[in-house]
Amino acid sequence: MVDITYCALFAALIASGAFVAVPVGPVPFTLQTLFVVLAGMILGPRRALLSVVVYLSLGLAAPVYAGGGCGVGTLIGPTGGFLLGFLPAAYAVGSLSSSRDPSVGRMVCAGLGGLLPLYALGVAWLAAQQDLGLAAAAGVLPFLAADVVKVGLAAAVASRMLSRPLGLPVPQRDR
Amino acid sequence: MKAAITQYYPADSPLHRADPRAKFVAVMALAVALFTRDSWAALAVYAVAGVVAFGLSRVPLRWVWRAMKPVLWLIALTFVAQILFAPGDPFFSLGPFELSGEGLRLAGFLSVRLLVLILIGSALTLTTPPVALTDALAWLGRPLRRLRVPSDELALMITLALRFIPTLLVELDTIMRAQRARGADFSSGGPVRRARALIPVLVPLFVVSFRRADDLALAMEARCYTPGAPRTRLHPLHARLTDAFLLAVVAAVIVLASVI
Repeated sequence: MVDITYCALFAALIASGAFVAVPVGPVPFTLQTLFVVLAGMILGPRRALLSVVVYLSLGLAAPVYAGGGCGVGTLIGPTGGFLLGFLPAAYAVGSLSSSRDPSVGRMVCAGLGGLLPLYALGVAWLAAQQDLGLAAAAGVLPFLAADVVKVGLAAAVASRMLSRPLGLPVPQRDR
Repeated sequence: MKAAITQYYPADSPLHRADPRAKFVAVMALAVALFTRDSWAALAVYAVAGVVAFGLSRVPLRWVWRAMKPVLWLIALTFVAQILFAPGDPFFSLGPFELSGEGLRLAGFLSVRLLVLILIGSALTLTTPPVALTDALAWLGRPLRRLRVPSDELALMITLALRFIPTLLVELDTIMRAQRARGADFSSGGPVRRARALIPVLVPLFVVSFRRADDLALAMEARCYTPGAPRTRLHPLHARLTDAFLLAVVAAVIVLASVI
């Protein structure tokens, strides 16, 4: 039961991340990757994956993809690789992080490990579909820099949530 | 702040009345088929199908335009990439920039295909409310139950997530105001400083959200919700003959596009 509400909650967080844009230079700093990474850190691999599945399915019905996109067209369109990449990313972060070692360093490593499949899939998908090649790789670099900052933020938050002394209400991880 | 998170345009049209399951299958099939053939003729068939569907839907042009706006930068990027790296004989060159007919044709084809994809995709989301689509997803996912995929629970989670979004946005707004009142500054400094400023927003957001999720789970248990148990619906889905007709038309379009 708790599975159902927590996964729904994180799917909603990832979705609302698309609406909260903090402008940093020309790149819109949406909080989506932040919540995907945090889902892995806080919920563990299995439930994080489920949260992303719920988010992606929600996007088929309502405009919750970044920039207010939605539907099958956006999901299999050129930038869909970055959406589908959330799946391996959430699972990887969940597997690499551990509630027994909630140090910021460990969380940062887990988060960066999650960005790897996200960008591999996203760039490959974009390059293949719009015949962009190198341009695609260059075009996502500013996003990658922003995402590294987001991983740092996620690590700081997750570390605070999971550290014993604070005793904040945190769900049990599934692993 | 957005009150309703939906692209749905309420109207009375044949497309609005069609069964969401039939519409979902039709749009899915068209979107995938769009990528199977790289010819202008096939693309034209799909474009005509998209325009006809849009005409039937009685949705104002403005709404479709809104769905297309986000992909415009991608189209621009495609053209720039073709100008910089295009193969083929250049017919115009200016320093390192070479325009080749082939490159422009390719960029044009990819861009039109993208617009047709968005047109076909939004024919579904503009004419179907999210809850109906979620019911359709749950029904279509039922065969996956054999693979232990809980399709009905997934549909419930989608509905809950949809309900959570406005609550979360209000909560986020409240917390940011509260922290601002205590002197927090979210809009100055470099990216790292701005990211750090979000820590005192996110930790309370999670504390509040986890409490809410726990309460919801308890409330559902108190009302005897049992995961995996068979459930009934307030608005059961009814497929009609017109839905079979819709699927037949879509199949005909795909066949036509693959032989043309």
